Amino acid sequence: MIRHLFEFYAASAPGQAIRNSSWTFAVIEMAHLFALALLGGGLLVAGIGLFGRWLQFPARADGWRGLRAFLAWSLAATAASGVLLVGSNPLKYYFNDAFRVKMLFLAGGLVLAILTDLLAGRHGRIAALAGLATLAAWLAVATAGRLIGLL
Amino acid sequence: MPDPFQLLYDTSFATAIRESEVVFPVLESLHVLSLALMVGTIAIVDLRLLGVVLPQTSPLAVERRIVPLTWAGFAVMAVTGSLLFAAEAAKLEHNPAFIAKAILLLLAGLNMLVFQWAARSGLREDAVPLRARVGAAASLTLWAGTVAAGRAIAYFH
Repeated sequence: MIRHLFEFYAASAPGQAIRNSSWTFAVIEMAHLFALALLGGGLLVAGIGLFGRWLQFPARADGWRGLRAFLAWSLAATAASGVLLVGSNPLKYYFNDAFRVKMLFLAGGLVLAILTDLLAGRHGRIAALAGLATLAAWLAVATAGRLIGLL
Repeated sequence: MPDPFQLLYDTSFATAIRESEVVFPVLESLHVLSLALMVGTIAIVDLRLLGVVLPQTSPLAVERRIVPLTWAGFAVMAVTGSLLFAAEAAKLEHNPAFIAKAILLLLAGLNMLVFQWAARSGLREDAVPLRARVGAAASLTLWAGTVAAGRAIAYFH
């Protein structure tokens, strides 16, 4: 089922357009990296802020609340550019172990981010731990993403 | 006169990094992650100055709290970047993307210095002067360019 989706994407017009243009891929890759940097920085500040010591926002959840829209937009940009990147060779990504690991951590990171968002402002310590787990999951996403090109 | 880039490239230290199947990719991954940490935290400070994020927290407080994270990212990025540069010095010397990255890095650094010396003094708990907002917009543009140029290095190898 999932493989059929990747095959469909490979045969589609957008997939072929990305595959046939080397600079389109490069530009999408640059956008993906920048969006991931924004997401990583935002998660780090929002996550550490939940501990209430080092970053010391007026209230623990202020960092998370104030960055919520920023995190959502940078996540959307990372995801959109990521989907386009896969279009360069969908089946190569489908069979790449690092890509599969990245997708698993991505799913985990999304669930943990939503959980942190629900807990932020109400359950201080649990929210902070959820924020820390979210950060760890996204660090794993970035590391696995880096490994895609190496494996 | 011998080419200093070639001399650096030919050292046993640089050769060991370049030829290692583990050290080079690990350094490269750490470099990308620390760059992400640095650029991501700088972007939050810039976006606060522009009034986009953390509206409930004063711009001075955001800057004070986040800049230590930025410096941590910068330290790792500078060390890993220097080692990667040493390993590829002779190839990077004529790489247009690397030259563009170096210029953009320099401009981004100058912009940060100007902010610290000039624009920061006008910051108050509740107001951001125009020169600080212009500096923030320039910073975002320069760092986005630095990331793009850094990624483009591989395409000119």
